[in-house]
Amino acid sequence: MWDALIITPFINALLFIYTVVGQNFGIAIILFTILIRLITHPLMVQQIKGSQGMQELQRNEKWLEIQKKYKDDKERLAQEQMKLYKELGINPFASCLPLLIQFPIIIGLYQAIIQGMSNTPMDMLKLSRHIYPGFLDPAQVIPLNNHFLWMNLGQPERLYVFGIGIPVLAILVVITTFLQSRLITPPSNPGDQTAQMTGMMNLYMPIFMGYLAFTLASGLSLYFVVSNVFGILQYALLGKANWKSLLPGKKQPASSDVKPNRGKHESRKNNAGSNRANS
Amino acid sequence: MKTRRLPFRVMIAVVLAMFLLTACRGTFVNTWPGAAANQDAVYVAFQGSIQAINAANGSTICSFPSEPDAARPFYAAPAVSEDLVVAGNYGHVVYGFNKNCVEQWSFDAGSGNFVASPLIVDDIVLAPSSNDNLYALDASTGAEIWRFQSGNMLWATPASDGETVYLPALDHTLYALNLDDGSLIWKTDLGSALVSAPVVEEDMLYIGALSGEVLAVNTTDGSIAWRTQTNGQIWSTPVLHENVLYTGNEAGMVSAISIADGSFVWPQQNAGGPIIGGGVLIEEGILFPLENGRLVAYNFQGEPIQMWNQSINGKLYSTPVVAGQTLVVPVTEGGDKLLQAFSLNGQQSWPYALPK
Repeated sequence: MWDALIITPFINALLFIYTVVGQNFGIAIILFTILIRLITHPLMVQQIKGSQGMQELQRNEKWLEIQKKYKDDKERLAQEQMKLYKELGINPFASCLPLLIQFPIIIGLYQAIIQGMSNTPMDMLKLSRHIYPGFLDPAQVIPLNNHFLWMNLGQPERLYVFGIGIPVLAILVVITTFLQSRLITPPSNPGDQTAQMTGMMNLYMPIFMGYLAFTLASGLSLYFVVSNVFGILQYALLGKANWKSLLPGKKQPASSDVKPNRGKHESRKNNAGSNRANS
Repeated sequence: MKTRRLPFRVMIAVVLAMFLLTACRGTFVNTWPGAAANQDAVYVAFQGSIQAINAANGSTICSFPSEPDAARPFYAAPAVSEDLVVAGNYGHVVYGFNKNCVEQWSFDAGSGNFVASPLIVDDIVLAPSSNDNLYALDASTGAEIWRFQSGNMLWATPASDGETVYLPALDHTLYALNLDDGSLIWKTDLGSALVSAPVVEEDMLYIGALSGEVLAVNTTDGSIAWRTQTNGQIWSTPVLHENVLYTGNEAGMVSAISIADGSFVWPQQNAGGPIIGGGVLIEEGILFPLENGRLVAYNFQGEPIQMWNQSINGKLYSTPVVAGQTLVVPVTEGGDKLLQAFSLNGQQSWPYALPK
């Protein structure tokens, strides 16, 4: 089911791009990643809006008040929260649902790239079985040309300068992951435990991703870099990138700016205003 | 106090994740075992070690290395000569060890994996690597004699007539090299990826390709004498017996092809499942392992041999081997079972499970 709905179409699309661009798997990975990010762009926009609404809600006075008031009565607390959601026009699932839909697509993209770089006979056998008969000729497509720039996309990447192997892609993965995570992190209040947790993840996640890029096939590192850079561009174009967070010592405290629902149009205007203030 | 612990906890989580991923690196490799036989011993390469097994009773003789290394697994069948076993791993190293599994030498290629089995020709070991290079090594020391760079990964064992090396590559090309110095004699584009060793007979060479073709190539100049199309990918070396090539393909068809002109000797037989592993000669005919766990055998007239209509719990991708009076079948995804042995009259004998 998963293979038929996600992996097989993804692999065929990836291999189709590969043949169109003159059998260059590196360019195929770049174009395919951008294509998938573009297709999932509307979901990403919805997710950003939803999560922003929820973050603002956490700082809303009414929200804080009912948390305090009904902290011992879970049932009543849930009822009051639902009331407040309605009043403010917030859908609590607005950020989760698009993320849940995006998730299998991103995993599918990742798996399609991994299977494309088949490094064992078993992988290649599986890859050949994913190709739609009559759409592409496996005998002509296989094996994929894994050479891109100085890299073998099926192996961890090193650029040798004076005999020293420099993991250029791993360094780029660390930098772009750091930039992306900082740029998408909204301003927070001092002492906010969630924000501290996010801050720590922003620090360690780039190291973790860099470690993966250092040890795994460079085709995946290429995908990480392209995905990160395109993600940053998407946030920037939507006006959601928090550029000030890149400056050391410039922390902008969050403000409680969720207003009672006075119609969708007005709510959007308020959100846009707060975004401009953030950027 | 609570918030001060946060960075520490996140750091611990990240470090743990790194360790887990490091531990998993060995299992990233996903392919089938390889087996080779010599007299009464079977050598099977799977995961972190090569097991030498007594073919008569399935007992372990020894294993190499003595401590398995999951991060550098062996999958290609070793090459076995009178007193030397040679095996390459997925950590770019080729090892030479004796029959007691004592290491004699090693050669580190620096990159790539050894997906294909090496070939021993007199005192030279030919080791094809996925880093596109064929390495010629001194069989007594492991020292590099020469190397030849092809256009893509090498997943097939070369063949040699003692003077020339015939090297199939994934770049669709068959290379002929001088065994002494690795210089190129000729090369021929066969039209699709080559993942199995050729068979050399007099001045002709026979090879199957992923396009489903079986080709006859003139060994003197690389010209193609004939090419016969079957209906599925060919992943294994054809078996040559009395001027007939026997091969199975991924579409599950068994073919018998005359080496004289490439014509089918008898109509292609539907074996009942994809055939990835190679056929093996038995007394009455030829036996093939099917991916679905079945064994099928045909006599030389193309009729099924009922006593070999066997089924094994697992998948069969590897070529079976005959050691002494035992046929040994490597099993993939067979639970604990790595090998299943049969007597040569088709009776199931011992199973072999990897030591825990």
